[in-house]
Amino acid sequence: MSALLAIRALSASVRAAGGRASAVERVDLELAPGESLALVGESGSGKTLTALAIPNLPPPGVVYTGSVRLAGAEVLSATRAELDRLRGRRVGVLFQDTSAALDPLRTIADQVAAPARRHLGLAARAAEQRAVELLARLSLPDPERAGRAFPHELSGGMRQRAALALALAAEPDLLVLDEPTSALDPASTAAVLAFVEAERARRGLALLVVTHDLAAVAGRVERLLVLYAGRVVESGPAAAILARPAHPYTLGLLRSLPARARRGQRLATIPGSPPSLAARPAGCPFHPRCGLARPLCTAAIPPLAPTDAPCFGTGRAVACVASAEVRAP
Amino acid sequence: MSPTRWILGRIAWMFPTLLGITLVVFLAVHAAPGDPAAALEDAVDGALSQTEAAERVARVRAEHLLDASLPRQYLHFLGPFDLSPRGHPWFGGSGEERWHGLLAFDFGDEFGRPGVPVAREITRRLVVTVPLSLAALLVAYLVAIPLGAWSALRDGTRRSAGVAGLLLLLDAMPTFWLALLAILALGPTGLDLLPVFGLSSSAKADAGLLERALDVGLHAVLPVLVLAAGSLAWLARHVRGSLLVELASDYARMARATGASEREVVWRHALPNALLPVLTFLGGVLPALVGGSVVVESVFGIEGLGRYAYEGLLRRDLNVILATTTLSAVLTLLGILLSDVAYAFVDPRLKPGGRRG
Repeated sequence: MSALLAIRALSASVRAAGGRASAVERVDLELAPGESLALVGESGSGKTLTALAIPNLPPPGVVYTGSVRLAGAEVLSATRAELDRLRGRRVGVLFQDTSAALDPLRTIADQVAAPARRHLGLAARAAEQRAVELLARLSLPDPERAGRAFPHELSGGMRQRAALALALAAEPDLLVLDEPTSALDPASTAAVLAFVEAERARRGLALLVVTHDLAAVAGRVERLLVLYAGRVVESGPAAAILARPAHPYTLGLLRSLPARARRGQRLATIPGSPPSLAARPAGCPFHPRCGLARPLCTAAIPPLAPTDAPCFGTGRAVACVASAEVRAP
Repeated sequence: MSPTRWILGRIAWMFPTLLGITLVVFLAVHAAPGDPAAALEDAVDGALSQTEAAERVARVRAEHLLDASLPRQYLHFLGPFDLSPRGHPWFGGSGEERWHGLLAFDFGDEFGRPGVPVAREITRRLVVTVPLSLAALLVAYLVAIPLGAWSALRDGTRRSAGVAGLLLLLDAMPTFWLALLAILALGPTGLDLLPVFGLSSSAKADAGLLERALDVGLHAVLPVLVLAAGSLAWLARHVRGSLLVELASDYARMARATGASEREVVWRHALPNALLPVLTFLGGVLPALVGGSVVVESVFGIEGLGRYAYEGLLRRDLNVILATTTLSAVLTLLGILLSDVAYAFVDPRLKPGGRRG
């Protein structure tokens, strides 16, 4: 099956002191219909900027280069009219902060109906009917009334699900969730995941999750892409990576999960902090914080390459010269 | 609570508020330096003999209770009973003038012109000032909203920056200076396009109705435009800033992410949200009918309410000062009420008596 989403050599440059700095460096990514993938990394790793390139909605001051093909259309060079046809229909986005994602002056049903009217050509009444059904499927209590309500009349959790309904209203092929665990409360998260699972089974909805929280996506996505300082440092099947990481940074992330720590034991942390945009170290950007660093690491950036070591399994790629020495968590 | 009850409640609260305001105004006027009767004496000086002038001052003092105690003067001003020597018999008056004061809408005669009731003079001038101010208001809103919106939508372009700069300049320009510039440029000394004094020409007094109406209209052009200019600039800058904020909001980004065109983002979402705060300013407009036109009416020689209040202040005519100040207080209260009611009907977050989030 051809890819639904194909990102090639995506870079994102941002304004920085004395010129522009690269916040995302040549990221490649592919996603088939119905597939699920998580972009994982600390804040500043470029994971959100990578995801926002899919609907081509860069924050002010960010410029993308490279190629993003979504459902056969090139997104980065598309006109606004072309983008309007893709956004909502091919890709739905739930942004990190959902508290203000709804227009305070319009009812929920009115807003959720808009994408269906726009993309599916539904009449106003039919679209609002569908909106209420969608709210019901997202387990909103009393969906009829929620549809007639204004955003301020709903609780925070209900607003989050209403925002998700808005993102999904025109049945997009791909759903992008930016930091869902910070945007959604646990009840909403459960409702969302159940709904997304059902939609994947029903019509092949693909899922791209952006998160810093490995525990939240463990067992819920098929593939992982680990980003550090704007670059992909490791990619592959989620289960295999979680069982046996090939990059010391992934190992550090895994070790710092609270669930892994034994009671009474200090939680492991990755020493140091992610490099700032302006002061990226030479060579592998992770080497100042890496326990396995060697002289070679400061010389050149290791390229992301498939690993054929049998202990990692198939479909893995890593950007590290010392991956053979990374132990199981 | 039903909306009607909510509005009635708001109106009921206006009365104690107004009572408080009248007390403060009354005390402020009496605390201010200067003797109104003495000011009158200065004014008539020369025209009358010394004894005649002294007699007249004494008559004014007696008629307007200037020698009575402050509480008595205040009650006289508040009404509805006339407490002067010629007032209601219950209070020792002769009974010629039973009713007086705010509650009877009778503020007495002008100090300087016996037989000219302040209330009648105010009514006469309201007929001039209200249409002028409403026209100016209409011009200001009709120009400011599209201009501010245009400038926000073209933000970052040179033309938008130019417009924003001009608006700032206009906003900062004193009204009297703008009025003088307009007179110099368009009046008889400049291009001689428009009349610059009064609201009608005496030459047209006998002309037909249509011609007289046209004459008044031409006279009103400059005062209306100058009156509109200040609030127009200020309003347009507000619309611009407000719309820029809304265009960068989370819900606008969410709308774009679902495929809304920029036209849809602006008209369906950003503009209604941006215009909400502008609605509040409408409340400030009613009192501006009195205050805002002082300068313009003076410069253009129009016999309006603002000029009346100003002249009354110069003459220390207590009746005029108290009446015009109270009127602007009432208008302020009404303006606040109107904008609250309008807001409650437009913004779902403020449904009167409704559920609150």
